[in-house]
Amino acid sequence: MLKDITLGQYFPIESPMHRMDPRSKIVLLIFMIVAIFIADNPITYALVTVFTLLIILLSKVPIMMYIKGLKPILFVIIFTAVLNVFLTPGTKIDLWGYTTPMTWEGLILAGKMALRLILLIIASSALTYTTSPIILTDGIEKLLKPLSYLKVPTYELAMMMSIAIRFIPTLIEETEKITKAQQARGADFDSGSIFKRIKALAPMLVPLFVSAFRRADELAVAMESRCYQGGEHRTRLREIHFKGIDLIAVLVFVLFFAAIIVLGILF
Amino acid sequence: MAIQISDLNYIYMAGSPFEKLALHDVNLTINDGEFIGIIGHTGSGKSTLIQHLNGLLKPSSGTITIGDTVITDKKADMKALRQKVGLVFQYPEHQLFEETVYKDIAYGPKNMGLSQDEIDERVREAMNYVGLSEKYMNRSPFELSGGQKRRVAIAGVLAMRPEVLILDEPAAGLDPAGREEILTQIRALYLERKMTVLFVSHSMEDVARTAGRIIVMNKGTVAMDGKPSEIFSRAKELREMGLDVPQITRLIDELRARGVAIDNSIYTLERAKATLQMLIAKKEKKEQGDATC
Repeated sequence: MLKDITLGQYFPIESPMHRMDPRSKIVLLIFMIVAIFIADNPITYALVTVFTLLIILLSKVPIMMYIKGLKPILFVIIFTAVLNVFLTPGTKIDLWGYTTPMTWEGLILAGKMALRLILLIIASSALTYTTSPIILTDGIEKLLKPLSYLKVPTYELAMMMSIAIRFIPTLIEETEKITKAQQARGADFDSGSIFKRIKALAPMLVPLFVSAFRRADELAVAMESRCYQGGEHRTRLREIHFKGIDLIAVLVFVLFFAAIIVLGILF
Repeated sequence: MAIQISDLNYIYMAGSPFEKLALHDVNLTINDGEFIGIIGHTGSGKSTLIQHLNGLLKPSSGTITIGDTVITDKKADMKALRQKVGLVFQYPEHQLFEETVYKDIAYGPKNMGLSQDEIDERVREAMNYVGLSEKYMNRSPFELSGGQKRRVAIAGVLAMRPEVLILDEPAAGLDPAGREEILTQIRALYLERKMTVLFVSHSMEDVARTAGRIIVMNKGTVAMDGKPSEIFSRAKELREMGLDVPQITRLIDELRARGVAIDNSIYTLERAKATLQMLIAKKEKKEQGDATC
């Protein structure tokens, strides 16, 4: 059920990618997304695909996890593919002597778009699979640091984000517990009309909100009683460092990115 | 209603990297009208086990028969089963959601599709069982005290008139008075309604006082099963599982080790008190006898 959502889940193992600095992973992901979108001919497509496979290998996360992560967006991929096939102008496809509203250009475009979306999801999953949420928010905070000179409360933003991420599993667990408790009292969440089903959610949502507020309250008290004050001069338990492995990763990526651009211009 | 569990296995999050064998080779027969205490260390599988008994969790393998329903059968009517097997979760007050105590307790019976009169009767009855006076009926459950909230939640399950009542740590997080009250009420309920009661706890004292049979869970399987006197005579094994015997049993064991002639199957405070008073009286009498001579 809810536990099956893999997108954004951390996968705690040892791998070269796990050891990388979150900042380099975030920045490289952004450039990876750019690369996926500027790839426009068979050779560059092949190159980004191979590079994505390399990322999967280096992350040491089982490929099944990536495939599972694709499931939630399968609908989007199919939907856009169908639209592309039918709505792109061009040469009509003939099937068994009939002219269909589908076009060859549409088919190619659909394939390209589907591949792009898949690569995009895989690359983003690679970041979250190999970086624990806490380290990820640390990385984001460090990257946003320059904005704090513009009076953007980067520290507070990062703190809010890490609290939110920290409580996702807790809330999922809570939801399951409450759902079970109400099911034990004969609740029926999956039958009846839509209106009836929405109404049936109240016994689940009310306790969930009540507990979320209670938790927020308890957390605030716990933080205040330990004199929490965000912002400057706070040190961390785990400092993040740009290491040798990051340098290698960045150099390899620069070569890859240059290749994409050059090959894109040449062909 | 008798419960029969055979060769039950349950794998948590099967097929993922977090896969864990939560229960294995569980075989149990629970007879009609028993009062059973289930004890075990955190993670021993006791909560997982009880969730199987009303079909909230499906076994990975094995069969469970409740009354004459085989719940592992795909066609089994889960809704009917859940009315017969009432399950009170840990911290049940966290599941309260209605505007009034009355409406919250009525949620279960309402889901059963009962008539308004029947619902009304059951709500009053359930409130009576848990010792909530009718003046609370129209109060919001959220403005009650912790112990009262818990009683509302338990009443919500009782209002479905289950034949088997399962409670997961019903006294957890309550003060000693609240604890005492809940336990006494459960005991009274058991005697009055002749229900089968399964009661999960990690407090040896609570289990020793209330249950007629104890099941000890360890590492996902049944480690011991028997009368309290049998279970608590195996103190060493219990300690190896991270459990212990009631404090009073420890005291008796210590006395025995020092040569006091005393029965070794004492595990409740009341009996220990009576026995010790008797021993002391005997001794005093003897001393008096010696003095007069």
